[in-house]
Amino acid sequence: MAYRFNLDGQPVALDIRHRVPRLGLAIDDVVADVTEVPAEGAAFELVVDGRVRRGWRCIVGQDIHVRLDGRSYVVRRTDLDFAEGGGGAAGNDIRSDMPGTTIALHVAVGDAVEEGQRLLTIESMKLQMTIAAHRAGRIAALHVEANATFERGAVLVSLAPAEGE
Amino acid sequence: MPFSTVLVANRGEIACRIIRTLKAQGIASVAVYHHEDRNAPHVALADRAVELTGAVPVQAYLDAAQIIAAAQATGAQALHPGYGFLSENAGFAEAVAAAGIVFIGPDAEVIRLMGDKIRSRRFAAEHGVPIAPSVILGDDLEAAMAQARDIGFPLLIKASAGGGGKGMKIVRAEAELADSITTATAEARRYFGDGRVYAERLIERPRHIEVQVLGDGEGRVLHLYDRECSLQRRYQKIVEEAPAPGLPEGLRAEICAAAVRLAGAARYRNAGTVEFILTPQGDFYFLEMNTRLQVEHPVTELILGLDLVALQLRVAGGEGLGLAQEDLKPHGHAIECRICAEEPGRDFRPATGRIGVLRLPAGEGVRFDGGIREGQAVTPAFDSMLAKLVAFGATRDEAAARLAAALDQMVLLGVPTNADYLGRILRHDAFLAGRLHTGFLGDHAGDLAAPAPDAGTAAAVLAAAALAQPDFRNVAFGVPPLHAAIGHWRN
Repeated sequence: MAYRFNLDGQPVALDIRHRVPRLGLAIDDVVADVTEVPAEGAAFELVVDGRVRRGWRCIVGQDIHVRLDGRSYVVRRTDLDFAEGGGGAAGNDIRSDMPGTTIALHVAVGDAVEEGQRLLTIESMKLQMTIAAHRAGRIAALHVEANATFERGAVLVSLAPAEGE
Repeated sequence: MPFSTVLVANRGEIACRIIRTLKAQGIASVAVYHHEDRNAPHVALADRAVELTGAVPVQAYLDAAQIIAAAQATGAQALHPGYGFLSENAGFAEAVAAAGIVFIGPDAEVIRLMGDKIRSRRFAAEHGVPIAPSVILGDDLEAAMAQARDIGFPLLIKASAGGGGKGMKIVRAEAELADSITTATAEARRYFGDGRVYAERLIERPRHIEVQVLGDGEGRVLHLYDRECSLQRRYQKIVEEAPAPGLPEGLRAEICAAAVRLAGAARYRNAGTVEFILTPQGDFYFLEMNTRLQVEHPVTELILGLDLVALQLRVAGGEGLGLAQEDLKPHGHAIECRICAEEPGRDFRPATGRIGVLRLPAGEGVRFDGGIREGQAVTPAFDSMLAKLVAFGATRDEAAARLAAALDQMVLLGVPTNADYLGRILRHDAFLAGRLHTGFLGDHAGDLAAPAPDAGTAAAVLAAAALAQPDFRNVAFGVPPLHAAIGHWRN
């Protein structure tokens, strides 16, 4: 089976091609030979195609944070998601990428909106941001009220399915 | 030192930094905290800690009455407000003084004067400190738009009571004007409880230069030289340094003298910062005065070999400045960067998470000012700044190289941060050449974006991530009966 991940937001398919003599991982169909070397705590050590790679990793929520060669990466497993994604907009639902509070609603249910039109103003960590429509459509539901708090990944607005869907 | 106990009315890195100096001076420290911060480093570091209640954590740190009661209950003779929260709240400074506790900062009247951008600009102009052309906007939208038009585009709409870029809008064309005034007024009312805004001509590609001052409250003011804080995103500084690179010495002296003039006229007491914008033509204008210890104060400490918190305590204790201007001889160069929980690749969006791994960098000239620990949640309740990393060097290049190396070495995992982005800034040619202005990060956004990892690195990162997942490990390393019978292939 293929495992799906996002590496810094880029989708990647990962598959186990063989387990002997070493683990063979196909990453977007390019196979890398991987051996795991025991390491303490959050540290990891792998030999990937003959090269030793030492770094750090931890899991927080849906994300696996990896530090390697002076750079940090966020990897998210996506094949376990039942929803359309952890954040942003896909299909009909517009989600929040972070927890916050709604400051203002700029549209009402039934409104026709253009792509890029601002729908909500939200605040997170003392910064105000605008949530805009990712496509043109009609507002099917507003899932939050003004001054409501919401968690990361919460659906904020649903658009009616596009014509022809 | 007249104080035996001092309460620190703050949290995070600045509370830890202040407590360190209190410890060094043999003064007992009292921390305050909200329940959510009960395991925070500033609580552990202080000699005593008092819990504050509040519906949301920020409210606790803004609750003047509870904080003053905590100071009285613990016998604190003085209170250090840090930065942010109540540090520039004149009413708080007054209430602290009225409770018989020394507020480590200037008089309430001076806080009030400098906290009002309109009054402070007028005050600056009256004392021969240059200010940029601007106008206060009236309540009537039509009239305000006409006033703003007279200033000319592009212009800035700013909150009179504001700071930190909140309630501030750039207006490049007539079409954006009405919306910007309305939004800025609403944000100003929301953040500062004061909806007054003013319009100012936008100076393109300015540098942000500021001067650290220290006054005794009787008109004697020293300048502790300048800092460059031009690298900003969302109008908030992320890289600061001292001294400002490439500033002609005559101009540096003029800017420092203007800051001393302003603070002297205000009979400023304690540490403060006078901020200026410097145009590409070499004109400088007063921006605002921050009547508190600044986030970026460590760079000044490093080039002067001073402890600013110790000086603040000395002045607050009535022992005078203890220094003369001639005693202040800067040497070397220091650069600080602010490590924030945010995603530079997504328009610096604030990020949340939990600090899963924290390994602090070390090295010659490197200083880490933090207030974080492993296991700590990074929530939207507070500012996104987690820590500051600072490096000193004999030259600017050396300081930049040391800071970049320290950023590489640091491991802070579990929440996206700007640490790698900061490293790319410190290695950028234009940064190293000192070609700084407040639009720097936008102008170089392409160069500063994270490059895609090479295939080998991406494979290693994905393998490390996948192998952190129990179900994946089971499939990868689980030993099915057939293979197990063949032999110890896993070894």
